[in-house]
Amino acid sequence: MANASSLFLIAGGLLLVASGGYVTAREIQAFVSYGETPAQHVSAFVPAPPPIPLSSDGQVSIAQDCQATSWALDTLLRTVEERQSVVRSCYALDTEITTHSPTNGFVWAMAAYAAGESGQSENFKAALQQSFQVSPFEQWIAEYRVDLSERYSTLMSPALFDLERKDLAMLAQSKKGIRSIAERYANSPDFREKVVEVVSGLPDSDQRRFLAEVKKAVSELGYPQQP
Amino acid sequence: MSRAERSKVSDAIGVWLAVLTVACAVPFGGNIAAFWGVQAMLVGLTALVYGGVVAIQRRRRSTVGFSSIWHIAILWAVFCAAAIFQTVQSPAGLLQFTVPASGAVITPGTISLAPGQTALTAMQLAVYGIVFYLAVQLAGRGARSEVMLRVVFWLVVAVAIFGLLLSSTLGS
Repeated sequence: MANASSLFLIAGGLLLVASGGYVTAREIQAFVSYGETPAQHVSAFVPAPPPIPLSSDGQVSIAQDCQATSWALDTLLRTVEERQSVVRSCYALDTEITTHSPTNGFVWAMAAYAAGESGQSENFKAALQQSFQVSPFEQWIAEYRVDLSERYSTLMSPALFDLERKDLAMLAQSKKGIRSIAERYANSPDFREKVVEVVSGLPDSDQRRFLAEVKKAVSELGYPQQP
Repeated sequence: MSRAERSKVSDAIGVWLAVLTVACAVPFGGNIAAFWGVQAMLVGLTALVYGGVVAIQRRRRSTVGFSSIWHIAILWAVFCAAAIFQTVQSPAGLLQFTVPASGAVITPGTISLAPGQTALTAMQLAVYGIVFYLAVQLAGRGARSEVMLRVVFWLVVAVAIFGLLLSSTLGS
């Protein structure tokens, strides 16, 4: 008769083989179905997205794949309805991820992108606000949120513009974030008024740092500098 | 199966376990969940083979019994149970969580705010426990433990050299 040790090892071994097999299949399924050609990328998400991976990295990765597919050249060349199907799938995927992981601010922002692309104003507002609420101080997500706020400005509410100003203030005071605002400031005249309003409320040292970054961005972009 | 043959099988499993433990760092120990699944399958298969060998031998007592490691076994079981418990779906609205930075209140469905990741952690904890138990059983005999230690030592040296090569050629 087998002793307790062998029973424990056999039971534990069976459990690990089963759970390991399930995890491996679940993690690679999304990436295998993503395929290699643009057509395969689209069919990976339409009519329905694949099951989401268990790992947080895998979830973000599949959401990014869907987003990249939605703005890929091959997708843009398709009919409006076909492209909207991809965008709707991305939104469904993003909201499924955030249902399980409600503090994933980056995926909330990607849900806002998908809602914005399909013109779902209320979903866009809700997702962008949620992203801000769960990740207010994550510089890389704030950069993405500012990009979304500017891209879908017609869908923005006054409350969301207030949140965008908070993102801008945070970015203007961070080492990496200041660079992204300076570049946008140099590139987009419409954006300047908003940035000036935010930056003028910051301490003098931050304002000087911002001006230096803008000059640097302007010279790197090759614009003629005013004397 | 004679006693000598059984011992050879155990020796081979001991060396395999040592290799597997160290090789997991490249790339199984990396932060890639699919590899964690592969690692769990390999460790599970090893446990099945060794458990089968012990069952065939009809040993009445294992090399190191549960009575010697009961306190570690209990802690391990509690950790695994706690991780699994955090992934169990709770009734809607029961859990509330305030995000300190913004004051926003969210109502997650599970105690864990990333239940998939927590389930993976539970699996990893189970793997560590089985590897520990296998290592204790296999290294319980003097000569085999020395071989396993040597294998681990040289593999660690090899991994360190590999790491140095990567860092000097790829810069990370």
